[in-house]
Amino acid sequence: MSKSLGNSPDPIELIEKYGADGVRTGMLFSSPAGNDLPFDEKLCEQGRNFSNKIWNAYRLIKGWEIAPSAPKGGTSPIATPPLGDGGLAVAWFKTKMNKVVAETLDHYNKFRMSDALMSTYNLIWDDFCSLYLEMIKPAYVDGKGLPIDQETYNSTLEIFDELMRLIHPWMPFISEEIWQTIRERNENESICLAQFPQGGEVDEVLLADFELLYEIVSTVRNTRNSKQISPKEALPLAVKTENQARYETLSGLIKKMANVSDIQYVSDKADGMSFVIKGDELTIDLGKNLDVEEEKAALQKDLEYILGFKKSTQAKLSNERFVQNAKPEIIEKERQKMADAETKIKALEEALAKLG
Amino acid sequence: MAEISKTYNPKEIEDKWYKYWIDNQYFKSKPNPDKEPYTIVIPPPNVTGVLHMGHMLNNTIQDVLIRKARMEGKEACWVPGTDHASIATEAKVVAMLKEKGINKADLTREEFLKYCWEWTEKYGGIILQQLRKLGASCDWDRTRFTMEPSLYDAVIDVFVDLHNKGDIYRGHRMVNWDPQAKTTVSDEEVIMKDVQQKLYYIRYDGVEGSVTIATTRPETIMADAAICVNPADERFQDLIGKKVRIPLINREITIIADEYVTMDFGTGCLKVTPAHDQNDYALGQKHGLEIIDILTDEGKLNEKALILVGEDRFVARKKIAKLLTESGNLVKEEDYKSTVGTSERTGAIIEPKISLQWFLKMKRLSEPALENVMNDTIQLIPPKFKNTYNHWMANVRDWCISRQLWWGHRIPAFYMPDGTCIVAKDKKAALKIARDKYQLYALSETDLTQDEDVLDTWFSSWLWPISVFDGFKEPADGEPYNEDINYYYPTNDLVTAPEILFFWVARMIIAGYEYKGTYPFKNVYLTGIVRDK
Repeated sequence: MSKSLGNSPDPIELIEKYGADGVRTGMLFSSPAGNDLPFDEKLCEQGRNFSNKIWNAYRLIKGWEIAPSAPKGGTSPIATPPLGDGGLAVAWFKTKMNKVVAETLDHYNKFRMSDALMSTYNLIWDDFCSLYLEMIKPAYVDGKGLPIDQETYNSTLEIFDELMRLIHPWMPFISEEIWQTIRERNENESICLAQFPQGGEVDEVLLADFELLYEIVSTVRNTRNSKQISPKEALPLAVKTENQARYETLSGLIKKMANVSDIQYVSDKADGMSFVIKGDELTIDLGKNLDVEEEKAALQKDLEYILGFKKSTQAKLSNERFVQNAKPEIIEKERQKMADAETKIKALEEALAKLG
Repeated sequence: MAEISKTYNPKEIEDKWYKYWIDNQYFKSKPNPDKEPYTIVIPPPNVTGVLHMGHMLNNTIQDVLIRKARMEGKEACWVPGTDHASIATEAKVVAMLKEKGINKADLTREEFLKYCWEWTEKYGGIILQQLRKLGASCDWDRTRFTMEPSLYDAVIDVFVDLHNKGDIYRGHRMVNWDPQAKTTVSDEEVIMKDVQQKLYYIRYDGVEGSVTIATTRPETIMADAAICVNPADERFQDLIGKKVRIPLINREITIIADEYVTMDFGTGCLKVTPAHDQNDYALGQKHGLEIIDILTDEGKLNEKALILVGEDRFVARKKIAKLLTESGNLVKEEDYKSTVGTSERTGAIIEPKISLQWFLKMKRLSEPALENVMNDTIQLIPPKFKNTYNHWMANVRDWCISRQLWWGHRIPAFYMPDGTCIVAKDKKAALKIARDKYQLYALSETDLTQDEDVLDTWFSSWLWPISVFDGFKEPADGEPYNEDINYYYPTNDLVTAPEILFFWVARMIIAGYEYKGTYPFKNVYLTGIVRDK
């Protein structure tokens, strides 16, 4: 009934281009009741990207090799909760999902349609794809993916099943396509008639633990980046805390996600880079784990390169013909390069001095 | 397990699953006493329309709500359908015929309607096919159309019922008349244009003094009913209540006073011509002035003009000016820039014309509709629309429900040879009334003429939440009651655009309380308008 688009895009063409699910979500990402929707095709593109994100996550899971589970005396594998870190990740995601489902149902009840969509969108994109899959992803050893345990795999598919039911009203097609292959379905079964998620118990302590986990993981990752330490290099972590048990629970996931070699519980300040998270002091020991000679060699190599670069730039700038004939902005660029090179040289020399 | 394809291909997947859903009848709904019903009626798009982005937004929201309810184990029922869209469809058919060199005026009503039905059958339902592409999970077996027999009958029955209750009456109303097409046009079809005109200053003489008025339409002075001045205007205090004579025809009119007249505009004296000016009509109603219509449907002067009878309105204007000069009543002429309304279709200058129309009294009917929105029995989402709703409903005017068109529900009013009007379901029923009430036993059906006009499109769509479930129909033989209407009504949520909150939503609420004694839906979700970025 509403119109007012001058050169209105043809909805059918949009569906051809982005898929019906992409257009449906695209229209509702940001469309509060009673407010005009400034339409941009990019919204449909974002919708299509979301379809692809879901599809790729599903492909990833389905591509994993599964380690056969130990015989459990008649209980079906789906009913068996996974052990260890997989089990912890599953427990966390389920409680997170319960919380989001409750929020989503509340949005629906208040007709906050875009909020209902966005809470599901974020749950799938951020919590499931970016965090959960990272936690349970089987490790790579010698270029080969290890198998995932049957229980974690089954629980992940169970979770995916619920996510598809949660997103189905918005994305009926892709959710049906995936839901039908998550496991064997009876003839004439459809996600259209499957139970909409109702939510369940929310373990706030577990949610808080995982908040801590992300913070540790992202801090360690950022530190690595700033120190140019390869993500493949495992680093030891020292923790000064009153709540050791909490860290012990999370230790496996911290090690996996932040690539931490070992976690030590200390009562005094440890050597290395320190940071404070939720009142606890965490220290990454960079030095011990750095190969000083290798590092020195690498720094020396960088330094030589930069010195050579500085030399050639200097030569250019002392060439009178170049300075007289080149455009002023080009000369300015060369001078800038010179200055940058000098800054880098200084930093590299300082780093080398520290390593002795 | 089949291999999962590398990339997601919506095209293959969408058609496959839509067909699977339809084949398995997942969207089909039947009353099920063990389940809670969840019902949405679609805002019926124009039958010959095509899907635009507004529909996409609107129908996606409806589909999300209905799919969620279905998954929650409710008996979800989304009723689809289309609206005959009286004026829009008729205009399209008229334009199509014109291209073929056929003039609507040369066709009989039956011939024209045949073209309308052909058009409807050819283009109707495209939009419903398009909704399937979007994934809309409507119960397609329930598809309704506002002109199909059951819904048509519902409209007629409601008209007769409201007439019998004394809520429908005939009255005069000023409409936009296109003298070239000889039809009324809606306000939306009038295009305002700037024109260079002349302002004529004309003196009206009387025994106790004279007044001078300024007008762009001297040819209408013969239809004048009064001269009006502002009661506070000191210049004319002595003249209020006195009489002056219309030049050339010497008919006496009274000088009246009303604050409507601006003292410092023109001469401060206004000629009041209720038959040929919108504002003058209102002023005439207020002061009980006579209505003298001096124009024919073609825009020519009729015998009531007394002079220049048969002349076209624009020819008459020049001739009157000349006559007034000769009689000495034309004080002066000035160039004057103003705007006039022209017909979108023919370009002819619109003539305000008083015509006999059908009206529905709104005051009694709208009371429960206002109360139950204000007390949140029916929730508007977002609630900010309650203010506008309140404003409109508290100041509601009678609803002009007749339209000078052919494509639509024909007004069930039948005229006897002497002009007596009988409102009845059909000719047979009208004849029975003629015999019973007027003892006209010799009268036959051929002596009765049905009203030419049709009803406003909204007069059918306001019944939509009831009529899609045949809620106005007597239960068929052997059925104790209509299961559908009892199960699905009231519906749950309505999703629509705010610009039809009054045209449609408010009227459905009115009809709901009048005919079912309760609201037609619990929540009204008002979407925004999809605009270019």
